[in-house]
Amino acid sequence: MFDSPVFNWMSSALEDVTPWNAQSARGTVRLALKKAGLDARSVNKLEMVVVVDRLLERELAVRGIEDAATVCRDLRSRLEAESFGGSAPGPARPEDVFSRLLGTPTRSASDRGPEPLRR
Amino acid sequence: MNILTAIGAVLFTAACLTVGLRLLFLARRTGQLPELLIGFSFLTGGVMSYVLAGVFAYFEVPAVWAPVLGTVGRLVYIGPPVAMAIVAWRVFRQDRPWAGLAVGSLMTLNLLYVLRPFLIGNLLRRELVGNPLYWISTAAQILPWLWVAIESFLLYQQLRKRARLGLAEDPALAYRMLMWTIGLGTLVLLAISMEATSLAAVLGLPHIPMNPIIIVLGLTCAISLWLAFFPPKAFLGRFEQGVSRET
Repeated sequence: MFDSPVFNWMSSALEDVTPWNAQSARGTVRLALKKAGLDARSVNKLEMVVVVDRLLERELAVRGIEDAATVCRDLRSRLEAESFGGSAPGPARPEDVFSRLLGTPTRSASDRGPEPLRR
Repeated sequence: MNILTAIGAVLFTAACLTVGLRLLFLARRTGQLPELLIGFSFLTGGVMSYVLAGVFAYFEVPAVWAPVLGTVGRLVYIGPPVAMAIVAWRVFRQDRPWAGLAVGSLMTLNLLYVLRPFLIGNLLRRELVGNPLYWISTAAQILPWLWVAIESFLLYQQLRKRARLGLAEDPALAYRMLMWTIGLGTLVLLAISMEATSLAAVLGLPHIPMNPIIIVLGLTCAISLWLAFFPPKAFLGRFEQGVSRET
């Protein structure tokens, strides 16, 4: 299974705005996603926005990127403007399967998005 | 103690029966494989195998039918671990070739359990536990449940992290996954305890009292599965408050 277009886009954008190579940029995004409990293969745009807002700045700062806040603001605005098109529905995620099994409300992958942020 | 043990065993069986039936009814409605396989596993592993074992123990089986019924019983017995191995692969690791290989290996080893009497003969229990084939096939029956329990725990951790960031569709799902994981974990512990008790008896080691183990694990399993599948509103409310406090 391949990484999601959102993950690939973000890694590439991070590579552009930092002195890092592709491997470092992808590794950093992957690490931020892991801390958010998300997967590079299925992350969507709305989830990535939350990761950029809440986790990426710290990941960049600890890796020596100066003015990480500005970099994240720039990445966020570019990400919001980006359109990733309608991707074909992928295989069911384990959480979707267990939502169904345990009888909890669920939404489809296309309209899955974050709840209002709580800080 | 005997009454408590009986209560623990009855609650455990009732939990498996309820979860099994609920998932099988769901599978009938959705036509999806995970609910069919897990429902079948709980119903067969937690209820039917005990019922069949009781029936075989109560009624005398004619000698001529014994090998046939024994083989049928063994095929029923390996159904749940094989089904759970497929669940682990198709739900959690469907894009991982190693998971497919693991399922193939587990199926082969479970088949060895069916063929075991033809390979090593009908040995007495104390002779059987000295044979590596016994432990290989026993491990193959427990490992799929353990695999699903570990994957469920990893998913619980992921869901909890998402809930902290406000990314959860249903914050209570994380805690219901935790209850499901504990329920599965107690099933694994129960199976391991039973094997450990048999081994201790055969090796002449001090007797491991099974009654307290059945009471504790049976009750824990029943309560956890009930909270996972039928959580009271107050319980869900507490979880959601917990998530709010964490964020």
